[in-house]
Order: sequence, then structure tokens, then C-alpha cells
Amino acid sequence: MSVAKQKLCHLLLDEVFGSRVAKVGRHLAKWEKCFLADLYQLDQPHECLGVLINHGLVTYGRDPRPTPGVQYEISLDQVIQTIRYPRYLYLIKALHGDNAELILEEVLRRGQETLPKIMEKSLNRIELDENLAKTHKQDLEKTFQTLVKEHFLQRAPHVGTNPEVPGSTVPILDETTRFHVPESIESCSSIYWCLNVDRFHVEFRNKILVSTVTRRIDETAGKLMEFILSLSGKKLEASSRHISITEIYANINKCIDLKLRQYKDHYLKVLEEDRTRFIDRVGDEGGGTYVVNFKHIFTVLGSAVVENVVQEKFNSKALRIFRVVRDKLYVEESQIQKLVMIPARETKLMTYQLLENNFIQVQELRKSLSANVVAKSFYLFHVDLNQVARMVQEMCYMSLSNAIIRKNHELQINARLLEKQDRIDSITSNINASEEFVSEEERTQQLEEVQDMLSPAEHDLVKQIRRCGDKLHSSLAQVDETLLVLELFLKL
Amino acid sequence: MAAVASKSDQGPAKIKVEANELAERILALCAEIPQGVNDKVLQASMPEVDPKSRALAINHLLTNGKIDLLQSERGLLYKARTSTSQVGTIKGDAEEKLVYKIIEEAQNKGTWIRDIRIKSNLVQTQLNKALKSLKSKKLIKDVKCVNSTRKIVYMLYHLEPDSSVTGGAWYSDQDFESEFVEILNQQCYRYLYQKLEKSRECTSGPLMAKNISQASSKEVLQYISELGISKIQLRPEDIEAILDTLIFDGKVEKTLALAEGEETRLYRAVESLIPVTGLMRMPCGGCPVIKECSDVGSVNPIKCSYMKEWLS
Amino acid sequence: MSRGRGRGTGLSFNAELLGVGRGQEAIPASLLTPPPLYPARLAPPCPLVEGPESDYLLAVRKEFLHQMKSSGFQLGGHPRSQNTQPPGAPTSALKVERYSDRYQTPEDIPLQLDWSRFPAELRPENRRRRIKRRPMPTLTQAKKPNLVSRGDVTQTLDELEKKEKSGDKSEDETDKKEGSDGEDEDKPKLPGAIEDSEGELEDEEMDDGTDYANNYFDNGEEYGDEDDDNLDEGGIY
Repeated sequence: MSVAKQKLCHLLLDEVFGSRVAKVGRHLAKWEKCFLADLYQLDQPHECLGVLINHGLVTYGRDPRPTPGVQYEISLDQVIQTIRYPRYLYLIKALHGDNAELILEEVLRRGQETLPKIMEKSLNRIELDENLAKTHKQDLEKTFQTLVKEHFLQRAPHVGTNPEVPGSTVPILDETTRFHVPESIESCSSIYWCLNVDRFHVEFRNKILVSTVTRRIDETAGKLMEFILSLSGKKLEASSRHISITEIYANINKCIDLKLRQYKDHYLKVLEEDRTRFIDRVGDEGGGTYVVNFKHIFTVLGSAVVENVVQEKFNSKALRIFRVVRDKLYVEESQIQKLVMIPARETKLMTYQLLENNFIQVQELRKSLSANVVAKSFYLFHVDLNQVARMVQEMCYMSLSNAIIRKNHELQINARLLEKQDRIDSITSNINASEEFVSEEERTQQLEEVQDMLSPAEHDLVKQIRRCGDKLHSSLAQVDETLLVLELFLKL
Repeated sequence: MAAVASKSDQGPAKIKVEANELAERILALCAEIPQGVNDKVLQASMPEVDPKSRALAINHLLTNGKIDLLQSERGLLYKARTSTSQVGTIKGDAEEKLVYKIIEEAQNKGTWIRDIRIKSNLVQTQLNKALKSLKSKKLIKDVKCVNSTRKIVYMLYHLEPDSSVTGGAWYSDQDFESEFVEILNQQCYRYLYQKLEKSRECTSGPLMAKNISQASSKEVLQYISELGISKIQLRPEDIEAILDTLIFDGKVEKTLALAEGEETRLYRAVESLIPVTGLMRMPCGGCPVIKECSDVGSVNPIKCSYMKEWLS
Repeated sequence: MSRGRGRGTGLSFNAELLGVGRGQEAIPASLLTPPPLYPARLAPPCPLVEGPESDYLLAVRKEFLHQMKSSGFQLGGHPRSQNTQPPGAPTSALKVERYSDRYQTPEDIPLQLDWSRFPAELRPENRRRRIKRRPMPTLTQAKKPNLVSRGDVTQTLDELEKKEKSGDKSEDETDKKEGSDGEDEDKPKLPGAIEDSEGELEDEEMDDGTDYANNYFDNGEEYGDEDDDNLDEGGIY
């Protein structure tokens, strides 16, 4: 667990859950596995642990060997994924509509919740908020069932004992009923439902692939890719199952895109032949069988991200050098210079800058084994993509932490000003809503008086502060995109 | 033997003439067998000639530079010299001739001074003297090697240095023409990108579009030549080197295809796989001092001047 | 960089060999100032992606954080009852304590969790037993009946004052000891430190080791009884 990651988790937990839970989280992050007894110095450790387990951020277990208590372990990756909650909502809204968005929001807020409560809270919200469309309870339930069927929601694990290991305390999750909604709604009151994060990652993965194909080839090819991916399953795997051409054609024939239907075999061919190997043809049975090799594609995407970083951090000449070294695996400095066609001095400078920043490494091969001979060794440059990807991940963690710290700082030093503005806003909305005033002029007069509580310069300052805060806040989501690609690359 | 006796009776002039005839015969024989004539074979083909005359003739041919004397496992070999060598015409001492011969062998790649020394087994001072005199006679010249600034190779005066020495089209007088390379780079990319844009308007399916967007290296070469930006004539290899740099930039991709019975390289411009990634939209992504950034110390997110600029 | 002899400005490497001659930029004129903390960057970063998606994401996240504050998960949930100083921020001199903070009890939003779903030891009903393990246990009177309880200390002190008027040196030490006894009672019991007799023994041992205490505190007994009133005041300053 790197220091940058731990710091980021602490900041995120503080934002979402407050400082007490954040302290417990930090302790867990530092010591990896903890007993409850280790946390006694902190404030209310039981409740904090309860909150964290409830939201799926901490798991627990008891070793088979007799131990004094249950061990708790925090999953830092899950904590960082809390940045992605809005993205889950956006995705679900696009796929299954506003009802699904409501349901998911409730589940996200509560961590885990029973079906009746989810329904109740969603209906409450619909009633209170006039912007939301009215909907019936049956529609909501139907949407809920769709979400479970599509594996977006799953049953939450509960505490129990591992049958094989007596006396143990582990979270139990029954695979057979995991995605099963019982028929009768009444029996649902004891079943808790939570988010199935992997399923969302599958959707994100598909989305990234489709947008890549669209960029590379064109939109119709993107649609074709979407069809193929929809056939590839709901799990995160290194490679999809074998998909036959007949299945793909069946799907295409249902869609309305004329161009795709006309040129479906052409598009398939183009996808197959592209250097990025979006799909691989693995056989001819059934007219042709294809497979999507996610591991390969995400290696390519991971390296694209790294190359992007190199290009923006240094310049495009450095990018050329980096790609040469990656392409040729092990290469000498003189060879780099020949291939890259940049003046020798600049090549050397950029190569060593890349080396200093750990984007490329040097491997020494001695020409003779005797140590005393000042024999020249070969110095070969190479790229270790896994290591570089992890380094970029660390950079992401640091950027996220910095964004949060700076945002909190900006909002805090101007807290009084912002509070004043908030009060003005609330008074303004009260004035607008109330019907006490006789005439419009009075109303506007009151509004102006309220606005005068702050001078124009202060108004501008408030606007700017809010703008900065928003900018920093939205940069979190953007850096998280990079993080997602790298995570998929390193995981698959 | 009768022939030999007659020769010795007729006096020196006649010997010379006959020696000439003999030499020509030997030379003709050597010409017939270009791999080299073994001494025994020579002996067998002119059994009437005595060894002394033969030796004289051979020496004569050697001094004139008409044949070469080589050593092989089967004995001595005489080879007709086909090159228009001028060793024989050099008025110089044996050392110079030797040095000249070595340099000549290297043809247009040139030989390094150290190699000459090893091959000729001469002392440095002698070698330098020889080189100096050859240079003054304008028989050889020295050419600076582009790869290492101090390395000098020697080659015959009239020869053009090879591209590996001078760097070919990219070097003019030892200077790497980076601007020239850059311009070529941009122009090639523009050409390929235009083709890509044209292919996007194509309505007859993606395969057709892909074919339109592709160009072989010959086509690119033609385009560049028509543009006339290059003073010298570029060869296909040069253009391919430029296109390879574009591949390394990630802007172009290459496929091999079989067209007109021979393998050609096809190039097409491509869009990058991903837009600028989220991390690099924040100042921290490209921050040069990120390693020093932390809560303590002068470099921290609160005082960061890059953040300040970015937020204002 | 020249090493070792520390003389002059000669470079330790042969400049010509590396292709770096005079007058070129490779060796800049010697800098007399430290390099800038934030060196100038070539180009600013690309702008953030803007659009309906990013607006949506921002709005949703802000609302989510706002909702979480009143969700009960923030434990001691009222914003003011928490330490609102976010981590990583310097302690700001602008932090103003409000008058109302002292007198308003913030309403804590209760935490509602189904505790049966979590390990047994986390459940609230098991919590009370936890208190026993707190690092500051309260005194259990049953164990050491010889101990003087807190309330009796003042009483004992009065008694001892009277005893001291009879001029017993060791009782002074008992006085001191019992003064510190009252504090010791709240600390974890250390063996052999609490009981009176043992304490006295210890004290005497201490006093035997250092004459300092003896010499320093002159309780005035040698001067006779009329100075007894000044005992507790120590020296006159």
C-alpha cells in the first residue's frame, strides 16, 4: 500500500464519511489487517467499522487458527472507486432510465438496503422533488428486477461461519441466490442489496472499447463493436468466449443502421485486420468464430495512456524515442539515434530525461566477465510497461489528493464569504417563494437589498472561488478515467 | 628441351619478346580461368616452357599489375586482375603502393587509419608519410565520418563516399539537417492525412475506404519529389526512413501487402487511440517537481504556483 | 563539479572530449541563485473536458457528499460537532470559534445499521463490556480496603496536620505521600506503590538516596512549635 494511496483514501473517507471514520480507515490502511482491539484508541471504532463494512469498503474474516478476534481489512481500491459513483449513475441512467438512477442512488447512499426501504425512499423522493417524473411502485419494482437480472445489483454478504472451518467468522455470499429476487415481496425485507462493482466495470470497459473503435475507424464500426461486446458476457475476463458470426449477424439484422447491415462483413474484416487487433478470428466453424482479447487491447490502451503522459509531460520527440524503445524491446543508444532522426544531442538529452523519470530503464550487458577490465558493456534501453503503468497510477493518486486538498483549502479560507453568499441565496429563494409582498417592485427591492449585503467585488470573488472549487472537483472525475484504464490494464 | 635452347641462343631481345609472348599466354590462361590458375596447371599447359622463363614471365605480369599472386592450399595461384587498378603506374615506393592497395580495396566505404596500419604492418610514421604523399599526388582523400566526429576514413580520390559514412541524404557537410527531416516528416504526414480525409467521404464501405487511405512508399516518394522541397534526389529507402519516424510518432501505421507480384509497404495515417488522458488535463500530471510534492515542504498543493495559474 | 582539492573552477571532466566546448550552452555561466522552486513549464495542460456529462458528474457528486453529511454515517453527524478541519490543510489562523458552538449541543443524527449483519463484536450491546478495557479504569474499592479514598483525603490531611503539630518528621512524608496518593488512585495500579506502609518504605528509601529533599524542605520543626502554622506554606516568598 503506497503512501500516496493511503493519503488519498484518508482524504476520500473524510469527504464522504467524516473525520472519525477517516481515522479508522487510515489506521486500517496503514496496518493492513487489524483486530478491533487495535483500534481502541480511536473514537467509536465499532460504529466506524460498521459504516465501512456496510458500504463494502472493509472486509472481515477470522483465521482458522485461534485468534483473539476478527480481523478487518480495508480495500483501498474500493475506497478510491467511490469517486466513480456519479459515473455509475450516469451509466445506469443512460441504460435503464431515471427510475434506475433513483434506485441506484439510494443503494449508493445507504451502502446496503432492503427492497422495501429502497422503494419507500425512492417514492418519497419522487413526491418531494417536482422535477422527477411521477412513477408507480410497480414500475420501480420492475426496474429493480431488471437491475438485478442484469447483475448491476446483487445480494449483500452477511456475517456467518464458513461451514468448512468451524468457529470462523466470514462474510457469506451465496452464489446461487446472488442475483435472484424472490417472488414474494414480503420475504424481501430481510435481504439486503448492494452494488456489483465488477459489472459496472464491464460496462465501462465496453464503453472505452467502443469509443476507441469509433475514433480509429468510424461510428458504424463502433456500433458493430457494441454488438459484439454485448455478446461477450457480464464478467471481467482476459478474453471473451468464442462468438460465432451467425450470432453477430443475427444481432445486426435487428438494428436499423443501414450502412452496418449492408457492409457487415466488410466492417468485420476491417476490425479484424486493424493493427490494434480489436477482434481475433480464431476459427471457421459456423462461418467464422471471433474472440475479443481484452488483455491485449488493454495492454495497447495502457501503453497509449503512458505515451500520452510522456508526450504531454515532455514533448513529442521524447514520445518518438519512447515508442522506439518500446517497439524494439532492447535497443542501444546509437540505434535510437538512427531510427529517430533527431539531432544526436537532443536525442541523448531526451533519452536521459526519460531515464531519469523512470519511463525507460537501462540493462547492462558486460562484454567480459572479469571485473577489473574496463571493458565496455552494452547498455540497452528497454521499457517495463507494468512498472511505468504503476508509476502513472501513483501520479494519479497524488493528483487526486492534491486536487482534494487544494479544493478544501480554497473553500475553507473563504468559508465566511461563502457562508454569507449561501445565506443570501437562501434568503433570495425565500423571498421569491413567499407571497407576502404586495407588488413586484417591493419584491425586487427586497432582492436588491439582500444582494447588497455583499459588494460587487465580493460577488465576483465568490463566483471565482466557486469556479475554482468546481474545476478541482471535476478534475477528480477526469483523472479517475485514466485510473480506470490503468486498473483494467493491470488487472486483466 | 629444344624450345628453351633456341631461346637462349637468340639473345636477350628475343628472350624478351618470347617472354612477352609467354606472359600473354599465361595471361590468356588466367583470363580463361577467372578463379585463379594453379601453378601446376600452368606448368601442365605449357610443358615446353622451363621454370625460369615462366617465372620471369610471371614476374613481368606481376610488376605490370596484370595478374595477382595468391596463396591457396593447393599452392600458388595466379589470378587475372580485372580491376582497372593503377598500382603499377604509381611512381612510389612499395609502402605507398601497399597502402594504396588497401585503400582501394575498401572502395567507397573507406578504411580507417587503424585498419590500414593493421593490414600493412607499417609503423605509424611510415604510414603517415605514405598517406601524405598519396594525398599530395591526389590519389586518395580523407573523408570525415559522420558517426564519430574524429574518425577519418581514406578512400580513392575519385570515389563518392558511401551513405553510411556521410549519412546520406540527411547530412550535408557533417551537419544533420534536422529542419529538412522535419519538413519532410510534416509533408509526408500531410499527404497521408489528406488521403485519410478523402477516404472518410467514401460511401462504398469500409474496405474501400481503407484502401483509399493507404499509400505505398513509391507514391509518397513521387508526391514529395513533385513538391520539390528536396534539392537532391531522394530514394525509396530515405522516404521509408521518414515514414518509419511517423510510425514511431504514432501517427501512421504500416501494413505489408502483395501488389504486382512484389511486397510493398503500405502506409496510412491513423487517429490516436485515445484523446488526451484525464491525468494530463491537470497541472499535476505534467508537473516537473511532483517528486518533491508533499504536505510538508515548500512544494505542496496549497502553495503550488502551477495550480494557481491553472485556477485563475 | 570539482571535487577533493576544492580549488578553482576547473571541471573534472575533459570538456572537449564530450563535445562541449567553450561558448556553447551546455555549460551555462555559473549560477549564483538556487534553481527556481517551480521551474517554468513549456505549455499549460490541456483544458478539462466540458460538456453535459462532466456537468452531471460534478453536480451528482456534490449532492452525494451533501447528502452523506446528513445521513448518519458521519458519526456525530452534525457538521459542527466534528472537527471540520480537513486533513492536509494547515491550521488556519482564521478559524473562529463561535459563541454558539459552546452552548448549542449539535443534534446528532443517529446511525441506523442492521447490526446483525456484521460480526458480533461490533454490535452495540457488546459495547458495554468494552468499557472495562479502557485505559483509564476507575478505582474498585473492594480490592484494597486499606486505601484512602479520594473523599477521605482532605479528612486525612486534617488529621495529619494535627499529628504534625506534635512534630513527627515521618508524618510529613506521609502527608506528601498521601497527597500524591490521591492522584495515584486514578492511575493503573502499580504493584507496591499504593499501600501506605509500603509507600512510606519507598519514600524513606528515596529519601535515603537523596539528601536533597531533606535539606531543601526545611519544615521549620527545628525552630520550634510557633512556626507550625507555616508548615503548609513552605518557604516565605
